[in-house]
Amino acid sequence: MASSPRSPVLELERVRKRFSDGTPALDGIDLEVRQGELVSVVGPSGCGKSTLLRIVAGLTMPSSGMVCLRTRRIGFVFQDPTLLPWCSLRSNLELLGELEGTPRSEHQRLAGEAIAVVGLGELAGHPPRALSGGMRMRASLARSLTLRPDLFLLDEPFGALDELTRHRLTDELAQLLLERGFAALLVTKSVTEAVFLSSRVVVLSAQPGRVVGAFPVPFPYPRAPRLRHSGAFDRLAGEVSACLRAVGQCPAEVERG
Amino acid sequence: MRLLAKWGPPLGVLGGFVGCWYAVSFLLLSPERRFLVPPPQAVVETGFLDHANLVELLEGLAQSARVAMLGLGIAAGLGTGLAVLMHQARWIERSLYPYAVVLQTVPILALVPLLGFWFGFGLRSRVLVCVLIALFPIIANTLFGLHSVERGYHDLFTLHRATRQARLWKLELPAALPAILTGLRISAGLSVIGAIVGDFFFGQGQPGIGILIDLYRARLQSEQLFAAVILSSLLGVATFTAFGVLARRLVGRWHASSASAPNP
Repeated sequence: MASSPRSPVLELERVRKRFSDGTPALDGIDLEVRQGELVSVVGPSGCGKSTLLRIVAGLTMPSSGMVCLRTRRIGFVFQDPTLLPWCSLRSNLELLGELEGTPRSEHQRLAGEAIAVVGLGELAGHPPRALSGGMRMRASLARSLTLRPDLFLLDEPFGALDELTRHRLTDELAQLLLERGFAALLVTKSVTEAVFLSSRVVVLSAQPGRVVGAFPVPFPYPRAPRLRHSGAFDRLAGEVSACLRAVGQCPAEVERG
Repeated sequence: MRLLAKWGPPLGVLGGFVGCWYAVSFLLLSPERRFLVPPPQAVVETGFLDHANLVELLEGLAQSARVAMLGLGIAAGLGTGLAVLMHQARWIERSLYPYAVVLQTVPILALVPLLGFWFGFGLRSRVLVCVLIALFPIIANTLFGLHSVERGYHDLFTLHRATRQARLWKLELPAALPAILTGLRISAGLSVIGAIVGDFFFGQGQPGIGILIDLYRARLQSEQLFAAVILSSLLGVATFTAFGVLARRLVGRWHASSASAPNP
């Protein structure tokens, strides 16, 4: 991952979202993600984190404000792996290329590369059902890689996994982002995950979501797994958690595993 | 041991049923009234071991099976097509679905004389009865399946600018396949009923098993009548089972409901 951020890939200015039933979800979000930068968004449940990602992806329209996206190549990793269960792993990875209309040979090649990157080459012919939860999530990541995205949107991608698998996948994701220099916007409930992966952690308030804190993460990349056990890491994670508690996050929901 | 656990209970019920059958035949009915419920061995001897009778029954059964499968095939194509059409826009669904429900609720016997007037008393009307009986479960299940695709998958397709055709062929129809096969399974049994009901009213052409049942009833040939009823039931069970096997083959690898669907 580039240590000095470059031009912005994504800019949000005063983005507001109110659902059709009148529920306010987001209130005046300003946010910028630069090339090679990973920004994490943490906040209480229901603060509009996922809505924010959906707005960036164009899946939900904002009520007002400006979304400036300087690329069309977006990789979205959902909370669920959303792999088509009737297709093999390889076919799943070829899907996005097919939908985007890239030439067959091209998307087959990119799918093959992406499977290899996440270490699932031997399971390419298997259906998703044959894979463990962690493998499915890795496959979902690999699927997004096939489009060579400039911006990765990650919506609590490891939320449903056990802690050990989550740490392993977080390490793998950190390595991947470092190697490829993507920009990424990560929504997570895990403060540890956010601090470990990000160059900046943004804290949203409870509904409607507003930016109430932004914490630059000073640790250089690449980050070794043992960073999680350092005093500086713990202090920063503590500050983020304290900010979350101050905005109404129930302590039990602050995950610092 | 596992075989015994699987087959023991249904075979036990069958044994009990045959026992009751014997009891009714020999204990409740006097010999001159025994034709009302002939004992099982008389049904087997006359209906299944007499070559001429067996050939007549099997030919009738084959004809009814042809009618049922033809009707089911048309209902499957028409029902799936209508459901896909309704799925394209809410207003199309709102326009057509109430009439699909009406089709389901109209007593088919009330329509039979009209069908005879319009389409004659032969094969066409028999097939049409099957179509009318089998259509609704296919429409309802296919529509349910198409509507039940999870939002995450739709988001994925929207995000990558999928065309309507790509969404239908790569996502919605495969995802709806278990529901479509469930509808087909229900309709397969119904179409057999439709073929036999059609036989009763549309007697022209090669006789189906329904025509034979009516004939045996008129002639008081109760052994053949029972044999025909047993064969008709077996045809229904066979088609239901066949579609269960088909569902397991097609979607059992990835869909739990088909992998564990019970067979009769």
